[in-house]
Amino acid sequence: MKKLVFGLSLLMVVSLFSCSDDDAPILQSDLNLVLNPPAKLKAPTFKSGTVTITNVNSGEEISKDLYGFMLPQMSLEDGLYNFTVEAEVDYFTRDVDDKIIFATTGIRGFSENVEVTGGTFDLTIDLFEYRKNTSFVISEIFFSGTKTPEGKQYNDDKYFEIYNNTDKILYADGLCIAESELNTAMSLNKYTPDIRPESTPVSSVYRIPGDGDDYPVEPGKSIIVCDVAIDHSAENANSFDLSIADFEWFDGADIDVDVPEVPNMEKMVSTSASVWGLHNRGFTSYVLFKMDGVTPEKFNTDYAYHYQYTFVWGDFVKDMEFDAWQVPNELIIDAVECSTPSDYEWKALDPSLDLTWTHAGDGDDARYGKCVKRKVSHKEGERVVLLDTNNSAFDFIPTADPTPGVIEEE
Amino acid sequence: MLIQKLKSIFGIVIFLNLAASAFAQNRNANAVDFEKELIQIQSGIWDNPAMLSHQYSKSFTDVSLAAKQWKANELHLIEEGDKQSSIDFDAFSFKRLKKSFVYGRASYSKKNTNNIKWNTVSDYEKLAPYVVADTIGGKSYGENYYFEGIYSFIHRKNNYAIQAKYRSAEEYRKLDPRPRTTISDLEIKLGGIRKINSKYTIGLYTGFQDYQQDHEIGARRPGTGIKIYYLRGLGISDENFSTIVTNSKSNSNIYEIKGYSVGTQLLPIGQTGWFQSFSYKKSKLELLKTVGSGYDIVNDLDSKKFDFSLGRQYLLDQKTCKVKAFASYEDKKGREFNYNHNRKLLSVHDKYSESNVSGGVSGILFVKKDKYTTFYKTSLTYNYDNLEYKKSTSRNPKQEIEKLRFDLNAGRSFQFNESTLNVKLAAVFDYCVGSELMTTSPVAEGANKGLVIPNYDFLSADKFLLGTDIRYDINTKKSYNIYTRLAYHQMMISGSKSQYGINLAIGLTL
Repeated sequence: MKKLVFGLSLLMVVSLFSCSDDDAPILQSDLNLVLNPPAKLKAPTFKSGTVTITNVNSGEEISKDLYGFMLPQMSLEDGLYNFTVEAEVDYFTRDVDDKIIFATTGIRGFSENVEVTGGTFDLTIDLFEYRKNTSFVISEIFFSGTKTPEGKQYNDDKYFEIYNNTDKILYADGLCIAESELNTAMSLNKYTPDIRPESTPVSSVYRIPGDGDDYPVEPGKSIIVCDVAIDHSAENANSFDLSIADFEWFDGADIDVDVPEVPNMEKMVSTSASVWGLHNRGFTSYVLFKMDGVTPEKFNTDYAYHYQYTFVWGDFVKDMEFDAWQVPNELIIDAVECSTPSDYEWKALDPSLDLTWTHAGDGDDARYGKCVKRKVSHKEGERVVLLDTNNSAFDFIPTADPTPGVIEEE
Repeated sequence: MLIQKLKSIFGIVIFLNLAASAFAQNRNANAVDFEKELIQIQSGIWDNPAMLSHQYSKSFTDVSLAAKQWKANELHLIEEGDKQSSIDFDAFSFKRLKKSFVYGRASYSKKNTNNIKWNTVSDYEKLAPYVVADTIGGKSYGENYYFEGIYSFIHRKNNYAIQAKYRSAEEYRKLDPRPRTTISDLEIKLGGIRKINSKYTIGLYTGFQDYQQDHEIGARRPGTGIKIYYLRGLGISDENFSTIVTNSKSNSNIYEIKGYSVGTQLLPIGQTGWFQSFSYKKSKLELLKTVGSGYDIVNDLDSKKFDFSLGRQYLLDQKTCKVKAFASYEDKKGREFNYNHNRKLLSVHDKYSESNVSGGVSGILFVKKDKYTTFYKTSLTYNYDNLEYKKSTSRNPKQEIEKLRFDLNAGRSFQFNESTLNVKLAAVFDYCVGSELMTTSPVAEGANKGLVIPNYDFLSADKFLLGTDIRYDINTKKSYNIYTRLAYHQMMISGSKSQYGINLAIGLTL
């Protein structure tokens, strides 16, 4: 009996230590990354740069310094990734006297939703030249709306603030503000034609009227365009005073409120038959552009855009077609891409307009009464210069407190 | 349909026991309650349902209604809240027949749990670390039904038995976010024992478990948006699945656990001899996110557990003594399933691992006199728990906790003419030998500060518990008796305010 007990005991103790599995390694693929410099740069020499690799599933970011147009092979966990490149190159160009000079410029690259699997993975990213803005910038966008003290949604107090970031007087006449047709929280399968590298698909366009010099904006000053230009705090203690607004967008007396003292913007086009309400979780993006001499009717026909994609939901597949309009990227003065951390899937704008995106809350209750606000870069004398690197994640304060009409100095 | 039938069977079993036991010796239930510690020291043996005939010597029935409350004043496990109140109804009965033995149990519990955070699911311990969490938190309300039945019969030299346990529960919150869970948990065991000689019986059992929790979370207030995280351990979350729930966009998931167990036992037929138990349990947890009419698997967790004990029992005069050494090892491995935005599976990674090693010695001395019965019990347990999350780009975050636990229990049962008084005292000292926490980023927003670190502080703190359990039975010479019970414990935690628990019950025994 004692032998039986001893034998059983020994067997059990041994089994305790003999049944653990070996740890399985994490599946990885070797990434070969090649960067193509912009074709129009002559003999570019790589100066410095970084590539940021973001794992979409885990949110982890890896930052690597670049020393050339190729990255040494690196291993990445199998998964879904976004790649962002920022660098500087030296190149040959001609100055105003047609002399050959050596200049430095910023270049960028972007590739998103890249599926890294299969053991070895090759990725080529086409770089583009980073364009500096020398005109108006969007300094603040308030799209979330507010909540009343009783907890109800209040949507009439949405606005844009547009700032003269230069040292010269600029004229707001003909300035158009447009909302993107594409939604950053809904990537489209087999989206064609993908015009984003050349033009931006838009769903609504409103234009400031004027003959060209009716609406001057001093250096370091701003204008506000809003939905309803009244003091909203009288009706909603959590809102603010927009009676200071310079322009309203107005969609018709039968459905919209018009404040007669505030000039109305011209409605160029809109896919919506009702009042233009900015997406209150911030899934759409905004561009600023000028298009002189184009009437709403001409814009409607000459800049029409038809696209299609395939909607897939599990086993359900359906081809979809939509109509919108397009704005050539070369006309765009400023662009701000918006989304939310929980819902971002793809870019609505070309990375050359805005490399990344910003947000006012994560689509949750924290977004109410919050805006996206451009940071201050520095001051030149008394004039505030706002940060504009065409990279909203860097240029903007997310989930900021709105201050319509006030440009903070820090 | 099967569940309904099972419920009917259990109901009949309990009814038969209650009826048949009407004239049984009414001190049996009191004795069973007092002798719980003597029975529990061999708990691994009673995992085999065929051992039922050896677990209890006489028939009894016990029906009770209890009010319980537990409260933490500071440090506690964040996911389990800081206060729980419940009303519990419990009825269980054991019947010895000529060649068979029957056990039945039915219980109902209605409970509230306050201040649950970083957790919107029920049965947190079963589903960790793959919990769907929010940061708002709240009070949850729940109901729990439990049925159990064992039927064991003698055939020649052997005993065979079948055991079924079924639990059904629902839990929900009344404020946004509004998680709602429904649980179905079924376990079936088949066991057998055989006398191998005049001194010993050996046993073998096998069991199967099927558990499912349906989880849904949404909001009711228009315009509300609340972030929920699919956690992966140590505060890390899946960025692709984590999302916002609103009044028009809810989120639903299914947790499934399937498992099996096997075990062997050795028990002396008399009062003296060796006893031994060994069991192996294997289970797999899957977290499935409902998408349209289908689902995506988000995580799975493979668990294995080994339990072993070896002891010896003696009978000297009227003193029963049992001593044992015990050890257990548990291993869990979790995987993550990564998809693209079109729900195409891209990769599956082994990321989470947890292991727990435990071992120790314990002993009990049970002394029966004419007017009173006394027991003294002590145990010393070592426990090492390690959990780790694999990262390819940085050091692995992990948590290690090593503890020593010393238990001291004593009790006396006073038998009076028409009443019995059971008094038990317990002292437990939980000492942290060593611990380490390495956090990481990125994690769910606020997770390190609000979840990982407070939980680590609680688990690694030294604790000292004092408890008492007093039960008074009256009318013990009649065919039934009524009892009241008051149990109270206070747990002092180093560096924190204490926790307490109280249980007040009234019962009826037959």
